[in-house]
Formats: sequence, C-alpha cells, structure tokens
Amino acid sequence: MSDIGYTISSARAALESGSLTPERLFEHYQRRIAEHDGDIHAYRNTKFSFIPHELETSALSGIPYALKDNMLVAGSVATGGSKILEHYVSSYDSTAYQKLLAAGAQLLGKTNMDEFAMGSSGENSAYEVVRNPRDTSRVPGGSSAGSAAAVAGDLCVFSLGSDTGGSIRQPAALCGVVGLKPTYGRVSRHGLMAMASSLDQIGPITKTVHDSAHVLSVIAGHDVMDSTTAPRETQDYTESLEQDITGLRVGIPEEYFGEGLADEVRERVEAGIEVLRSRGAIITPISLPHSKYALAVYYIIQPSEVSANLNRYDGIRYGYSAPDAANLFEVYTKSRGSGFGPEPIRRIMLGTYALSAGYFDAYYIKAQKVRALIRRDFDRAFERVDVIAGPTAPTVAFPIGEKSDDPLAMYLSDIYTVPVNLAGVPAISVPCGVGASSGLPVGLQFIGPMFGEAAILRAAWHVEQGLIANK
Amino acid sequence: MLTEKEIEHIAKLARLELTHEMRERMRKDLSSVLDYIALLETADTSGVEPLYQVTGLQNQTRPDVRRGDFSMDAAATERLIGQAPAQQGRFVKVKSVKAT
Repeated sequence: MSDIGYTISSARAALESGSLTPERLFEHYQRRIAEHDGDIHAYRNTKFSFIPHELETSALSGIPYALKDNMLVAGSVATGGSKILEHYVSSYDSTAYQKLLAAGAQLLGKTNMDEFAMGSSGENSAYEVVRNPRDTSRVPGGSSAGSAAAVAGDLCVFSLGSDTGGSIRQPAALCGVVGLKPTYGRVSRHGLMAMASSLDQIGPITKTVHDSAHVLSVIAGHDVMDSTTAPRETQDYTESLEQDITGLRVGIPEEYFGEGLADEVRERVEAGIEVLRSRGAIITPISLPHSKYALAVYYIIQPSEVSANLNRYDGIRYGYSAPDAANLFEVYTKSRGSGFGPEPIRRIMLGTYALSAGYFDAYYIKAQKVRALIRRDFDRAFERVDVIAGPTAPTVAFPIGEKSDDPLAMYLSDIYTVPVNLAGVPAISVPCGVGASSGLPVGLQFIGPMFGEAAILRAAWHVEQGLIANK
Repeated sequence: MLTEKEIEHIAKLARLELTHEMRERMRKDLSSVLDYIALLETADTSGVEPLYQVTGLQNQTRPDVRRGDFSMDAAATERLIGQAPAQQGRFVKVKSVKAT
C-alpha cells in the first residue's frame, strides 16, 4: 500500500486474498475520517453504517466511498452545501447511489461542497471551508471540494462528484487525483439536485485511471427516471485501457496555452503530452477558435438555468422557511433571501436578469448561438484528432481567501473546463506531476468526442503509467 | 453599472429579500460580470441556430403501461409532505396571498 492508501484495485486484491474483510476496511476509513477530517472538512455527514453484502466478483464490492452532498440517499440528510436544506431528509435514492449499492460499494458519508455546486474553491460551502490535503492553507478547488479532498486525503477509496463547468475535474487537478466528467447523458442524474440542467453530469473522482474506469462502468447507462440519459449500451471501460496508443491522434488547442496559464502548469502539461508522444501518439496543433467566448456563454446559460432550478426552494414544501413571513410573497422572499448564501444569490440574480423581458434575446439567445459555435469547434476538431489535450486549470491550488472577494477571478479558474460542458463532450483530469515552483499537483485534461470515454481514459492511463515509470 | 432600482427589480423578480449591503454587493458583482459578458457582442452568430441541448434526443417516451413504483400510501405521503413547514392533514398549508 502506497501513501495514497487503498485504490479499488488494491483493496479488491486484499479482500479477495482474505487478508482484509469489507467490515475492517470500512472501519479503517471511519477511523481515518475521525482522525483527519477535522483538518480537511471533506465530509458533511458520516452517519452511515456498513451494509452486509455478499462478496461478489463486482469490482466495487466492499469498497468504501463518498457521495457529494447533492446526491440523494433516502432517509438521510442532503444539504447541497446550503443552509436552506440544513435539515432536509431525502425522500428517495439517486440512481447513482442505487447502482453503487447494488454493486456492493459501501457508503462512508456525504461530502462537503460549494453551495448548490456553485464555486471553484470549496469556500462557498455554507458550512466549513474545505481544505486541500496537500496543503491545508490552500483550497481544494470546487465545487466537488469534499469529494476531491476525501480521495486525495485517503478518507475514502473513491467518490462521486458532479460537474457543471469543471466541478469534478478542477478540484481533482488541484488535489492531485483523477476526475472524470462523462458525456452529457452517460450517467443518470435522477436524485442529483438540479443546478444547470443542460450542463450537469455526475462522475467519479479516484486515485487511479483504472479506478475511474471501474466506477464509470458501474454508474453509466440509460435510466427511465432521467430522460436525458442516452439509450445506448454501456461497456466495461477497463477493458480497453491498456491498448497500444501508437498512432493515437492528440490535438493540442493553441487557445488553451495562452495568457493566464501559469508557467509551472504549462511545463507539467507539456511533459505529460511528451509521454504520449514517446508512446507513439501523434501530436497535432489544433484550434478551437471560439474558446475565448466560453466563459461568457457559461455565465449566461448557467445562471439562467440556476434561476429556474432554484425556484423550488420556496419555503413551502421543504427546506428553510422564514418564521416571520406575513404573507405568501414574504414566505418566498424572506426564506430565499436568508436561506441562500451569496453565490447562489449572485447567480439567481444574474440569470433572472438575463432571462428578463428586454434582455432575453441579447443575452440568452446570443449565448446559445455562441454555444453552437463552441460545439462546432469540437466537432470539427474531432474530425482530425481522437482526443484533445491541455491543462485542466490555469494555476495550481491557490491560498484560501485569495479569490473569495472577486467572483470574476474565481470564475476564470474554470476557463479550460467550461467549454467541455457547453459542448456536452467527456473529459478527464489526470495528475501530471507537481509544479516546479509550488510543489503542488497539476492536472492534464483530455477531452474526447461524444461518448468517447474509452479514448480519454486510455490516453490518461498511458500518461499515468508513463509518469510512474519516469519517476 | 446597474442602478439601485434595477437591482431591486431583479431581486423582486427572483423573490429574494436582501439587505442593503447585499444589494450593493450584488450591484457591484453583477455589473462586473455583465461587463465581461459583453465580450459576446463581438462573436459573429449570423445564420447560427441556438444550441439548447446537446443530446439530440427528443420526446423520450416509455411504454404506456402502469409503472407501479410510486404507489401512494401513508408512508409515502409522510415522505413527500412531511417536511413542509406547515401542514394540515394530507395537505401543505400556505400563507394567505393577501398582504396583511
């Protein structure tokens, strides 16, 4: 066992050899959480018990994991990182949880997150600020802050996060773990708190690329409860991981290496790409010319969808309700005004403005048109290359507090991840070493065509293996 | 820069009662984000159709048979409305719409 603790593969090997039992493994992680989470605040809720399950051949049987607190488990509290849902008890299970339960995976707890998954640092949690296990004075990234920190700090074997504009990949990069955002529609979102419905997707955060493929194989698939899921077959994504990459065409978008990219990040990302070249991949410069508009498009579409989705928190059916409201209108305004933190308020207002009479065409329709151009950039690129490679985030983990008073600076953390959600394509962040000046983890992002998870997993696996071999 | 009146109007549409400090903070934050978003004006979108969703899936239907996984009983009622702050019998109770 290395310093990262158990991976799915190593834990399964120990379970199968009989040197470890699922109960003991579960208790091992409960102890680690009790000892270390006071410094990290990765978890919101650890009131879950071991559920006896026949030790099957399933890759995830007996594996302890964590769920982001915006995914529902019937009968337990789900806050979404917000005070407005502090006492909310889920009335049903999310499909992702049900699939992991059926596979025998063991839920350790629900992880802390930026409020309603809005944020890039874990500082927007209405509860504790999440800290990066690699350096607790720095942010772990967000919004799946606790899910990434729990994996990086070995407080679970793997976790699930959700990614609307980079919320799995960016924290994975900043914490030095593997984060996968599957194709839009690949994983059911039934039981995931809706944030921006045309962008949200659930995916795994793991210690290795192999583990990522394992988890995706279990959670992917069509679901009658989520009509945006693709009615197409799933596959065992671990099978093609180790295939030779001779001749794999890797596109390098010039727009992802411009101003704003830290030198130490560029250096490590280029070293990662060099690994692929040495293994026979063909590296080709490409252009995604509308990349410069992606963040602006995102900050119209995402808040617009947020303003609609968060209307359900109205103080009437569940969640916080202001006790001093005199009439129905005040129930809404007082419950929402004091129940939401600053970031949800900011985005609800931005979206309400963009959708309001007189501005709808100029903002919302314009943004959806530029979104079509961004998607077209990717479609054209994938006629020439198999995968696209670049940085996941422009910098390594930044100090807590550095960007919390400047929303725009914070939003720029996601400049390389948001185009992927707008286009709906899959992407993975894989660690590619530590920055020369900071000594902190850097993530390399691979982007694939629609349902091209196997290709990006394979590229990421080769980088991971190549970097281990070079050590 | 958005005006105070505009911020008040947006907050009302969004059903958010905000303190004066929060309104001022939002006025500043929203204005700076809107300035950034103005970048889109330079994108040429002539002849481009908006992309509302990326799957291409439309009107997903299931066989027209009773699914049966949502049978209502007392426990289901409790799960669904038990967390409403005000209830009466099987109903969620709301305040009067009239200003009082």
